Amino acid sequence: MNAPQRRPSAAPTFEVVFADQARFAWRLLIRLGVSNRDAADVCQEVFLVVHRRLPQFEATRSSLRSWVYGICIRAASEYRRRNPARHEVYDHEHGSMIAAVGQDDSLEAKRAWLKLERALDAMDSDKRQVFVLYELENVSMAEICQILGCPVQTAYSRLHAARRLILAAFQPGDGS
Amino acid sequence: MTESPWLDKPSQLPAELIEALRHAPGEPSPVELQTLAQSLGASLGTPILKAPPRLSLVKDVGIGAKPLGTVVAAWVVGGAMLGAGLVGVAHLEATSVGPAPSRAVVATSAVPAALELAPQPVLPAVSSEPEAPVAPTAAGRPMDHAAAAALARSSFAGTKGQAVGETEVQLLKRAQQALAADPVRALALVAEHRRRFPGALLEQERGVIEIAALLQLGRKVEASARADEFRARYPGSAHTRRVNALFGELER
Repeated sequence: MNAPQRRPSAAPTFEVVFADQARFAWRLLIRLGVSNRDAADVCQEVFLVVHRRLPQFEATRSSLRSWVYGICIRAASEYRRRNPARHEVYDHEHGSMIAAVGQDDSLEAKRAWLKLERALDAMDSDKRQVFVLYELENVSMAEICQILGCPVQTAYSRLHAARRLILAAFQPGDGS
Repeated sequence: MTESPWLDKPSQLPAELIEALRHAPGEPSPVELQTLAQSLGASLGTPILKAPPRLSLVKDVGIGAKPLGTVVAAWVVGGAMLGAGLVGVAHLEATSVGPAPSRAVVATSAVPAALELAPQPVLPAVSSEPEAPVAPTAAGRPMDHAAAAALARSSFAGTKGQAVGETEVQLLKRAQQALAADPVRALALVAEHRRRFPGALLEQERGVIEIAALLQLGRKVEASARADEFRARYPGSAHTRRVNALFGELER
């Protein structure tokens, strides 16, 4: 959606897709559970696939961002399937997510995110994908359904389930 | 910057959760993005260029998006050498192409391409095209060594190497690098990749490397069978031309 379309009917060039989408793809991968240590490699996988499939993008009706996000979703799912447990998240000295939080963010913000991330890590991928896309990436529900290939009711159901799990994790006395 | 729809009613949310939603991380640093561009460029055989700041293509979206400015936005990939990398090395291994412009010349000529000129090639370069940019051919040295060296220099190829947690790209790079001197090992690594990453995102790239390795070993019947499987499984693949070219070059 962000790529300038110099030729209305043409797919954007690979360079444009990379310049336009790389950091969003990286960010989405991180938020879907790819460790900061592996984000570069998984993001590279994503863009190798983007490079290969770009000629087919013209035939689709999705936005560029949705299209790239769809590839990220699959890459992150594969990654999490192969790496079910993440340990470095809880390393307060070298933890990837702490490092990923902006330098200017307060310690409270970092702790808050770690708590949210633990809750995200604990839920299944279906819920996490909808939650991250909707709440953190601000993708519309219609686009989410297109990306995930699920009915809108299913997506909303997953979102609400994810919200309940997140809220439960942030209840006072949760201890985490 | 937009915010989470959940934050429309902040009074219903714990303050800590609001903090978490507002500070969700994940943005790569400019250095990380630059390194990614370089590594991707090495895999694709594409020089990475820093475009003028006017090429500000990135629009900020989403929570936690930091205004990285033109430093990040300006990173673009020149298209002149697309495809000469991850699978292109396989091609270069199995063939012997005539004199070609040096990598330095290619990089220089690609500089003005940026984003304002004619559309860049999207499909990978094909072997039969004499103008396909490749590394210089030193006497007695396979041309792919430069590309392999570029991969070895990439920040991801050597640092995490052969650990258990090796990613798809890392293992495939090892197969690609092995192709230069040891196609038997390349085949073994392809088999390992197939075993460790069933349903891999990069299975097409893996297939091309396998076909190239088989051809290099003179196992043409197996290579043909693999190529037939490839064409049947991935009709319309951008790599089909490369697979065909591998056989075309062999017959010259």
